[in-house]
Amino acid sequence: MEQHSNKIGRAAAGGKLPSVSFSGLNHYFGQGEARRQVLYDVHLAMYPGEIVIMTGPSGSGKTSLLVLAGGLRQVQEGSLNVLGREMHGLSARELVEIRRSIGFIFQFHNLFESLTALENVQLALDLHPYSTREKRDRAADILTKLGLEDRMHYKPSSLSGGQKQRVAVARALVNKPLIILADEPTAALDKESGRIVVSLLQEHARAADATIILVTHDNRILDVADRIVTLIDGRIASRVEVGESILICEFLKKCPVFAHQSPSELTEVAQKMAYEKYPPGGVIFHQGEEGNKFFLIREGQVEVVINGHNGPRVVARLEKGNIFGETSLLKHQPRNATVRAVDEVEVYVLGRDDFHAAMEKSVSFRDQLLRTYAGRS
Amino acid sequence: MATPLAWRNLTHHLRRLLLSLAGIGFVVLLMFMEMGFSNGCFDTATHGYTLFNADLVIVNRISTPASPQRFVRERLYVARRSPAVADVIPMYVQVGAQWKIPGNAGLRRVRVFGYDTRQRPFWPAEFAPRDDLRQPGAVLFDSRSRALLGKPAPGTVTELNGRTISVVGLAPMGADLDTDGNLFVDQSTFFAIFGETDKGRLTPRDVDYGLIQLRAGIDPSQAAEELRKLLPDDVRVLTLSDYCDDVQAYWSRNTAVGFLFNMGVVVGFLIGMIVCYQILFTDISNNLLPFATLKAMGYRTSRLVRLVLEQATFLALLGFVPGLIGAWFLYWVMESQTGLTMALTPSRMATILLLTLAMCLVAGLMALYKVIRIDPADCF
Repeated sequence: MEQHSNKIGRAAAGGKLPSVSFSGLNHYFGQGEARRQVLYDVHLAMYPGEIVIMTGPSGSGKTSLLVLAGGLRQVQEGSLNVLGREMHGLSARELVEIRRSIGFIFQFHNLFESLTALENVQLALDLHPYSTREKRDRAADILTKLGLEDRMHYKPSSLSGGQKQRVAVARALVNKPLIILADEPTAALDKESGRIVVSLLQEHARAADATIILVTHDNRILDVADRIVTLIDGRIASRVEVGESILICEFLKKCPVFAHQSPSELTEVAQKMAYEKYPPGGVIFHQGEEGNKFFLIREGQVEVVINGHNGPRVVARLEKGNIFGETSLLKHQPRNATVRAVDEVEVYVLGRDDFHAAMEKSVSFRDQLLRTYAGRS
Repeated sequence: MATPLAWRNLTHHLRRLLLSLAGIGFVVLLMFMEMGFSNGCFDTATHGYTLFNADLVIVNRISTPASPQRFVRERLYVARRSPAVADVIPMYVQVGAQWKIPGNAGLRRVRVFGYDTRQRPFWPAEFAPRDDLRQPGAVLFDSRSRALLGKPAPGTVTELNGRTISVVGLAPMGADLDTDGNLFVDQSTFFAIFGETDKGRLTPRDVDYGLIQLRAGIDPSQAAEELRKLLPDDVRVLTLSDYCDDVQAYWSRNTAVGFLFNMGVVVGFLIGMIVCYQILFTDISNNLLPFATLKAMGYRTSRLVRLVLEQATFLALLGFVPGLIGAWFLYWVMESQTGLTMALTPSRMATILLLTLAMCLVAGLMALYKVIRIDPADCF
């Protein structure tokens, strides 16, 4: 049996090394008495081509994580690897060097009002030894790509909010960075402009195989994420492989026990499910054992075997999208059958406590139960 | 070429820029005026001497501009024997002589130069030797005297220290702080008028200045060195320009004039510094987030420091121009009104330009802490 809690991250990376990886990272604010820990033992890897949305309440440490990944603060404890370089112990000067290969996008466009769109973008190129002509061409190129070819020579005061943020995006992308850190890039924008900005980032992540880390509260853009990482009180509270999570929810939705749960409840369940893999013939659980897990088949076939008076008898074959193991959990009874993998089987597993918590929370499920009881009487 | 951010930030708000430049220009003008007054006083103090038709000047060692001392004429005989010397002119000077204003009962102080009028101790053409000046009581009147001495013309008869004199011609020199104008007389007339003093008889043996003309091609400072060896040390031998510097240094040391005007320059400098600091500070404050973004992007602080200092330099250069034009105009007005010499020499322009640059750069350095303290993490 193999277990991965972060399977999809690796899958998406296709064997690539992470471009940003935190491991055992702690971070503190303040000095002496006022010293306060803001990040606790963070382990997180982000891969080329991946868009990671960081979310969580304010003060949860997501900004600190971004600030560290961007080389804007020195690492205090633990390890942080950015583009293959260990950041712990780097001098402020070396951090500046690393920052040049990172694109930053902030909540506000932070453009110089005195410069045209083109010149604002060129500021990012001034850090590199390009010729004047090359700088102008590159800046013009990226602005054209972002649909601003008519606005290149405008100053920010004559641009709309969305256009200004697009200029800021152009400034971040013009050096073709392998990492982009964006802090609430859509917060100040209307829905349409926000969508344009996010799509541009998405295109860049695909085209340049760049890692994009987005801190946002904006639910309208969550769908671009490959992964959503939630921080609470300085700890990673959940990491959702978005594609996988959607898959799980779709499966769960089809199961009678979960049919009445809302999408957000399903997502919560999905987030808590772990991934397990069994070889052909492997036993997932035996009849008579205490039930402690709930299973959802992702891939493969299992057979349900009841060991009765006439010896073992296969009572059912279950496949992709089916669930099993819930009866014992619901009725607090031992397993009433043995479940065995037929071929190679991948399953999502939910622990007993999480399963019950989900059932508890689900108002609709309790309603259903009550209705059942009412029907009996 | 890097994006001209300093220039753009400076010129972005045209109205604000013009106000800024007016402020700095005004301070430049103020410094020019203070320095002009100061230089005007000192220039005026030596203006007469710069007209001396001489390479070297011999004066009494303990003589100062405030209390002139004479020396014995024998020293000049010694000097004349030097092969480098072409001619020696003894010069007698009386300050504070009482000039009776023609057509008016009033008296004013004038300075009187007495010399052998067959010689030519001043280089302007009007001082060419003339025979009529050798008549008793004949004087040349300083055509650049203050107007309050009256407007004597050749033929005007008036009094000097109670003796009748007659103006035979005009020659230009100019007033200074102490005297309102000058008269030039033959030494015979000089001793006829000033020979009798409270302290006894003044004779041609007692010389105020020995003006020495060198032979062509002789280096003045070297010749001065030679003469110093020949002469006893009760006299000093100086080149004419050294002597003028000496007199200016004396006045600036011994009067409050230089100090007061220098204070004026310092005050102007400080005001300008504050004005410039305000401009730079406002600009940085208005652009805190963009500057922080530059730092996040990988700009080093040193680069931003250069940006601010660049902007300070632009301010200095742009502010200097209106100040200079204003000063040029006001110098002209002052000179024509007071008769003080208000010279706008290249070296003085350079001095004020350097002061202006220093003023803006110091202001820039003061504003820098703001740029240095910008934390790119604050963008988040």
